[in-house]
Amino acid sequence: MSWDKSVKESIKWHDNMEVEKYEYTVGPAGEEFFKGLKQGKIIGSKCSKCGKIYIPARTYCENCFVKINNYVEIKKEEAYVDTYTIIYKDDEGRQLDKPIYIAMIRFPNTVGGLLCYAEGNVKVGGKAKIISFDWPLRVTVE
Amino acid sequence: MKVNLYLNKRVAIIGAGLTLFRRRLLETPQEIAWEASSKALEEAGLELKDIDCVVIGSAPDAFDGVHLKGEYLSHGSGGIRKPVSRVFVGGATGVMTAIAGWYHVASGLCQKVLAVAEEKMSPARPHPQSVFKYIWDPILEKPLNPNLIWIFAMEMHRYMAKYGIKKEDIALVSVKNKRNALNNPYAQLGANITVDDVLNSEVLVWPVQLLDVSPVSDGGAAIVLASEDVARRYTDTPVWVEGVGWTLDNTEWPARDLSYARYVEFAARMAYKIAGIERPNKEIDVVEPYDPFDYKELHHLEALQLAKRGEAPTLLKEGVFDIDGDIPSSPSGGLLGVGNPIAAAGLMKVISIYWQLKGTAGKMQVKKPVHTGLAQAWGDLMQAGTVIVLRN
Amino acid sequence: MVTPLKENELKEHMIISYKPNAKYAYTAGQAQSKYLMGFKEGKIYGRKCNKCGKIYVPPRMYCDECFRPTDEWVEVKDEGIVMTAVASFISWTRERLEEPEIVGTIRLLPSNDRDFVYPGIFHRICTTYEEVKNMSIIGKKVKAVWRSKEERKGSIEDIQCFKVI
Repeated sequence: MSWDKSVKESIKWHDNMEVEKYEYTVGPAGEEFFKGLKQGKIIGSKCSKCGKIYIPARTYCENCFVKINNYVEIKKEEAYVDTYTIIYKDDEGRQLDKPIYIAMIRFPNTVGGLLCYAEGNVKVGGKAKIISFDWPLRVTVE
Repeated sequence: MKVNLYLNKRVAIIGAGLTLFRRRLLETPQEIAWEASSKALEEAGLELKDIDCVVIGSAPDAFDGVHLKGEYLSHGSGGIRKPVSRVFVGGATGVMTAIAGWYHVASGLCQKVLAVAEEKMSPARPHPQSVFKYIWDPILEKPLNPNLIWIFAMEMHRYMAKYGIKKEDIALVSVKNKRNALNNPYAQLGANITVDDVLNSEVLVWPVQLLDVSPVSDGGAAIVLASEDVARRYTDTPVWVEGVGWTLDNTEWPARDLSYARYVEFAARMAYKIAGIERPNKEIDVVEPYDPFDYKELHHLEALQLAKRGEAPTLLKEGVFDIDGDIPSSPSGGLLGVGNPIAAAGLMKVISIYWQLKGTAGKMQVKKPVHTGLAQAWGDLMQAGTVIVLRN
Repeated sequence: MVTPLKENELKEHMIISYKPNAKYAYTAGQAQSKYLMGFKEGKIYGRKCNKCGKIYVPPRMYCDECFRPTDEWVEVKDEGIVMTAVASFISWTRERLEEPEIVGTIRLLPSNDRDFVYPGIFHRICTTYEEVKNMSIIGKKVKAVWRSKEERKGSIEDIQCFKVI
C-alpha cells in the first residue's frame, strides 16, 4: 500500500513458465491431410448433410454436427490469395535480411484457408501456384 | 451466507455423453469434445441448431499446450455463432461446468444449454505432472522444486496423524473404486486389487504410493440442460438440478489445518440450503465425491457432512459406502478407476449420478432405489469446492 | 469412437512439436519484499491485523477476512511445531530420486494448538525417512537452520531446513 513507507524497493524474481516441449497429435483428419501433402495433394472433407467442404480436412461438420467420412481432393490449381502481409522482423524482434511475404490462400467453394510463405507478384486475388508441399507451404503468385 | 431460495425456474439434465478415458488418445482436443457433445445431443434428442447457449469447461491451458483453450474447443463443442462461456476452477471445473449450465437456464436467459468439459493431458513433455510446477507461488514455493503430489501427501499425513487412521484403511477406497470401475465401459483402470497390492506399490511421496493415485488421462464429457417445459417435451425421466454450491478459499495452505476440507463444507451447505436438505447422511442416496487420491474421498465425505470428522474410514470398513451399502460412494469407479482428465473427470461424476437417478447406469446401478444424488469436485491448492445435488 | 494409443504406437503417427518460450520477471510486491529481506537478516517477518488478531506469514498488506489493510509488522520466531511431513522419491519431472527429499509445513510460534489458521511456512525438514514413516516427526518442535550471512541472498533458500530441537 502506498501509505507504508518502510519498504523502499521491491524485489524482482526471475523465473519461467515452460515445460520441456509439447508433442501434439494431429488427429485422424489431420493425418489424412498430411498424407495428402506428401503425395502433392490438398485434402479436404465434405459434409454429406450440408455439402460444405472444409480445408484442412475435419472429422465432423461444425454446422450440422454430424460425422464426416468423406475425404475429397481439392483442385490445387484453383488456389488464390485472399489476403497477405509483409513481415520485416522475426518473432523475437530481430530485423530480417529480406522481408517475408505471408499469404492466406483459399480455394473456391470451400470453408477454410491455409497460411503459407509467398513470393512473386503477391496481390489480393492473385492466382497462387504451390511450389513446395512441405509444411508450411510455399506458393508463387503470378 | 444468504442464498436466494426463490428460484422459480427448474432445470433438468436431459442428455449426457462420455468418451473413453485413456492415457493418450490420437484425436485432437476438438475431436474429443465433439465426440462427447454429439453423444449428449443424441440422447437428448436435440440437434445443434436447437441449443441456445454453450458452456465450455477446461482446466489449465498448459496441459493441451494451447492458450485460450476454451475458445480453441469452440467448433468441437458447437460453440460457434452462439453465446459461449468458459469456466475454469482447476480440478473443480467439471462440476462447475454443470453449475454454469444450470445458471444459464435458471436465470431465464437460455432454454437449452450444452455444457462440455474436455482435457488432453498427453502432449506435455517430459511428463504431464511437470506442468503442475507452475501452480505454486513463484517466489516462496517454486524454488523448492515441488511436485504436486507433495501437497496431497502432506494433507494425507496430517489427516492420518490427527485422527489415527492407518494406510490399510485408506487403501480400501482404492480397492473399492477400481472394483467398481470394472463395471464402467469408459474406465481406464478397472481392476480387482487387494489392500496388499496398494501397500506394496511404488512409494512416490511417502505416504502416497502408486496405487493411491489416479492416472493422467485424455477424455471428454458433455451434458444437455433444459428448462422445465422443454425438458418434459423431450423425456419422461428428466433429472432435476435441485441444489448447487461453490466456494473458493485462499492460497495459504501452509497456514491452515489440512485435516479438514472447510471449503467443501461451505459449498455443500450452500447446495443443501437450496435443495432443502437438513440431514445429509439420511437424505442423500448416492454420492460421487472427488477422489484424485484415495484418502481424498474420505476427506470429502466428512466435509460433505456424510460422516463425522475422522469417522469416514470406520464407516467404510463397515460397508456403508460400498455399492450395496447405505450411501454408495463412487459407483462409477471414480477418478481412481475411470481416469483423471482434469475437467472432464468432474463432469463424469455428475453424469454418473445422472445415470443412477435415471436408472440407466447398467452394471454400475446401485442396489437400493435412489432419489437424491450428489456430485462434488475440488480444485487448485486446497482451494475450490463445487457441489451439485440432483433429484429424479 | 476415440482411439487410445500406447506409448510406442505414438511414433507411427504424425506429431508436431514445439518448445514454449515464456520467461517472467515477477515482482515480489511490498509485503513479500520485506519478508525476503528479513531472511537476509535471519528473521521471519509477519504482518498483523489488529481487528481480528490474525498474523500473516508470509505477510500480506491486507487482511482477507476483515478486508482492510493490516496494521503492523511483527517478528515471529524461527521455531515452530511440525504439522505434517512427507518424504518424496520423485522429482518435479517424475524422475526417481535415490535419497528422499523431506518437506512439510510448520506452525510458527507464537500460536497455539487449537488454531485452525496460524502463521505457517512450507519448507524442507532435516530428519530421517524413519521419523516420517512412523509419524514421530509430527508435533515435534523444530528450529530453522540458516545459511551463513554471506550466503543469504533474500530468498526462501536462505533457510537450509528446519531441524528438531
